[in-house]
Amino acid sequence: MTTAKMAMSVEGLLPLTKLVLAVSAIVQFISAVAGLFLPGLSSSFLYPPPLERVPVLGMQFFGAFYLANGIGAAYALMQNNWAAARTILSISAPFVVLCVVLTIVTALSPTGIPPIFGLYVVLSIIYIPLVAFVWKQESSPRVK
Amino acid sequence: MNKSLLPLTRLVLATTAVVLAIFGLSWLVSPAFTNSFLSGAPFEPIPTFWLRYDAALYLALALGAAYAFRQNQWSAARVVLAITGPYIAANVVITLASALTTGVPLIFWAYFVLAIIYLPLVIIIWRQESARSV
Repeated sequence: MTTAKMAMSVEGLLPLTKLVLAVSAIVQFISAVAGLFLPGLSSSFLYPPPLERVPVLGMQFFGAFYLANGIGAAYALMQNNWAAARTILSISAPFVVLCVVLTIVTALSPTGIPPIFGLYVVLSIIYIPLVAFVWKQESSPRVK
Repeated sequence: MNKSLLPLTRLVLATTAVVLAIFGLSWLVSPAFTNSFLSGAPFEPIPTFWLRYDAALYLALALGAAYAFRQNQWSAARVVLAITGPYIAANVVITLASALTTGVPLIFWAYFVLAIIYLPLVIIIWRQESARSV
């Protein structure tokens, strides 16, 4: 009877997966608030010179995207199942990889990048292997 | 038991993926075209590096929508719609606010029309699929 109940139970996400989703959601919500409500501050501190100033409206559209992505990540965390979580990670991981590539290309260009982008790259190279690790763990059959 | 998605859900996911990919690629490959035709006056031009980061977001979300389409289950699809629905709704609000203040490029009214077709579709799908999942 216990085995049958165990077989019927839905497996939730592993703690590390939940942590990655939660961090994804929080970071995106912070970026959303910055973009939507503090575009001037964002431009000055989060995307400072030598990068060209981003128009307020551009910052706000970007903020809207981060808000929506944050909602998606929070929703996947709430659903607590791998199908939802991996859909979010299939968005966030490629985005972070593409951002790293773009940052490197911009760094090598005459414009260069502000020092804070070094921090973003470091966070990215922590995040990407974590996603790969989480993906591997969640995709493997779990031994009960 | 995971049921397959309804045809309308699959259509919306596929369209979402394709549209996002088209916009993402155009921003990545031709920022000048974006600033001239896909955006334009009275909006200020968006710097090239910024458009490319925006493109990365769009392409990543297109990938997510395509992956959800392939997974063919509501648990995955609703996560994508939980992103695109609020994003499009926020865009509608920002566009209307801009229209009342600085004005918007003409093409943004086309985006607006597409948005007000898309949003009710997302709601219909959400209701239909949720009813099946119970």
